[in-house]
Amino acid sequence: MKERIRTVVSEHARLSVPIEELGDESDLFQAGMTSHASVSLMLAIEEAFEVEFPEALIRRSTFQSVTSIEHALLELGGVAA
Amino acid sequence: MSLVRVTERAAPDQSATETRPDTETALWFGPTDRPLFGWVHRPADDTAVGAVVLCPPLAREWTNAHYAYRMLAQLLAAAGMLAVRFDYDGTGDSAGVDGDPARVAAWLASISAAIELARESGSASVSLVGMRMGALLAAVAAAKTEPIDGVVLWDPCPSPRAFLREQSALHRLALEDHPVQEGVVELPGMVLDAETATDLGSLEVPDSRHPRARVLLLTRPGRRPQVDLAGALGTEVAEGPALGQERLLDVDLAEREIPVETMGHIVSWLTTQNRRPASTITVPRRESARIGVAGTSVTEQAVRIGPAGLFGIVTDPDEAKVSTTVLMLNSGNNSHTGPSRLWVDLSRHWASMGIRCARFDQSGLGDSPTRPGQAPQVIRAPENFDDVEDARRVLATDPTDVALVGLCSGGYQALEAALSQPMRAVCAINPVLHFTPPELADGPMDPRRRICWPVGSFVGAYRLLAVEPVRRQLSKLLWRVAHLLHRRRNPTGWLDRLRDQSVDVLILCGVNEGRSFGMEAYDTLATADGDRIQIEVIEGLDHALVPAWQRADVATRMTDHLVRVLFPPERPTASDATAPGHGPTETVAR
Repeated sequence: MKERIRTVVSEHARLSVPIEELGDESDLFQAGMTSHASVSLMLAIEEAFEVEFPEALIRRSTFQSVTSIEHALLELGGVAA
Repeated sequence: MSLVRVTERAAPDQSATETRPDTETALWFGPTDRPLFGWVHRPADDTAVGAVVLCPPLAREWTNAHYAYRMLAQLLAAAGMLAVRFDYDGTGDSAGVDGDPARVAAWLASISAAIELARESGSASVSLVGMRMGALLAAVAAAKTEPIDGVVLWDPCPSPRAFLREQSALHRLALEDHPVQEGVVELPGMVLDAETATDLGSLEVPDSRHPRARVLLLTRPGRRPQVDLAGALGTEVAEGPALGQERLLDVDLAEREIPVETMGHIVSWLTTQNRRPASTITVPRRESARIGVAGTSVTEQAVRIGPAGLFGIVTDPDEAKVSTTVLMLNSGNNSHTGPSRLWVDLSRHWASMGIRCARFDQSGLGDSPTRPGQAPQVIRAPENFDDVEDARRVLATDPTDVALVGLCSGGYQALEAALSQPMRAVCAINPVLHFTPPELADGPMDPRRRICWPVGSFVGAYRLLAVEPVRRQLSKLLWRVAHLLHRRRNPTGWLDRLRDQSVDVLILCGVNEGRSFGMEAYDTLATADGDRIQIEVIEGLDHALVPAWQRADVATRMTDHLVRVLFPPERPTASDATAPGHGPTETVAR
């Protein structure tokens, strides 16, 4: 799952550093992801994993890192690893 | 079309229009008990081959698109068409607030009124242009109104629900630990009640297929509307790319770029559609309006200011209770409506308390032209000193009795102006004192700048301290050294001067803003002279006051301050004067 997330992040988060230079725990906002880009990332994750984030999960901490996104997807359940 | 020029001091890819204030008329229209505000741009010879009504997007997208809409209207007028741009009911300078009920019906009625204004002006044909949610609203209006000659759907939202979800997510993801208000949907710059959110989410375009309707659909890759909008409107549909929308809408306002190529495409398409003989245009004049505010009403008047012809709106009470005039300045690239429309709400509220208020656009910003040789859309321009001086002389009942209100660059300019011009009071929110003045690109710093700390000097070195704990520990020491080295710009010194000039000062700022220009240095002064110089550092305050509850909090604090400063003790206390949209008050952290 992490690799799929990293692929989506690299395509939509508009980071100022290559995704390869970031760890799974790295802060994506500190790596240059703007709030607009985080919305694009959210929508792309939803499309890639066929889920819809509920309002309670739409917060900065959910999209802070690859790991936090993975946790959110697992929390939603039904997502293929 | 003689329109595009770029100067060295303009932001990258920002284009300037040749301003023609004499062909641009600000006016109120629509219902007299609930007036709408708008602009009519007409060709110089007062004839037009058709009219185009520009339906704006909603929420922060309105803010980002405002200058592009103004440019597009100027381009259309230069191409021989009459262009109407307007603010929906409860938005911009129109009457009402975004929390009023039945917003969707009101917005659609606003489009109908703008169409009626275009027809009253003498145009035989009317086309609509709408961007994002403005495109969906224009599509609904076009399907219900006959006859509409052409419709341009400019980067329409995939669906109303997608717009709501995307914008509410943007609001949440932009803010850390943001408390969620129950029963409302908060978007950046706008709050919708549940009914309006439901109405908007279920908005559908009826299938009209007017035989005369022609449609231009401009979309971003992968972001087409989920329903066949264009097909529902007409039989002749042209398509094209909505170029440059990401750089217009999906960025902070300060980084926005104008999609000149797409605007040229729109003008070209509309010009091709409007092949009728030109008709004479007569624009109705209604430059003032009565605006209802909490059981009473105030008068608003559109004005031009000084030799530069700056644009402003004066809000007058029926009976002025003080001689002071409050002047509100632009916040960065925001228009005169202020951060998320706060200046509009405050103008009307304070006028209802008996205080004359005026919000205006400094040169090159919002709806104001540039001064000779000045580039548009440049914030903190040295010309802003002249702008405030002109506004003070023209708009104030007594030019020596003025209170200035500003946020960010406006807060800075208010403090600077108070040091050199006679002022009664200043309310500065999140003033930023360290920046690179634009004139440094081709010369020395303007000598009128007394409190600016140019980035690159000591301030730059401080900002390089990336480790937060180190910053915290060293900040006091560093600022003491900085203030010793730069005595003239030391906040303690210039706040002292303001106190000596009998200026009442309220500074409201977040922790970062307070820390970054050495707020600690004048805590002592604030404590020693709390009556005249009041500084409040507010935990968690967003720089642009995006959360509605923070705007309400700041409105309360400023209202309290103004009441204390402007009204004698026997006058109503602040607790009697309810600020617009009151919300919870944050703890003040000193």
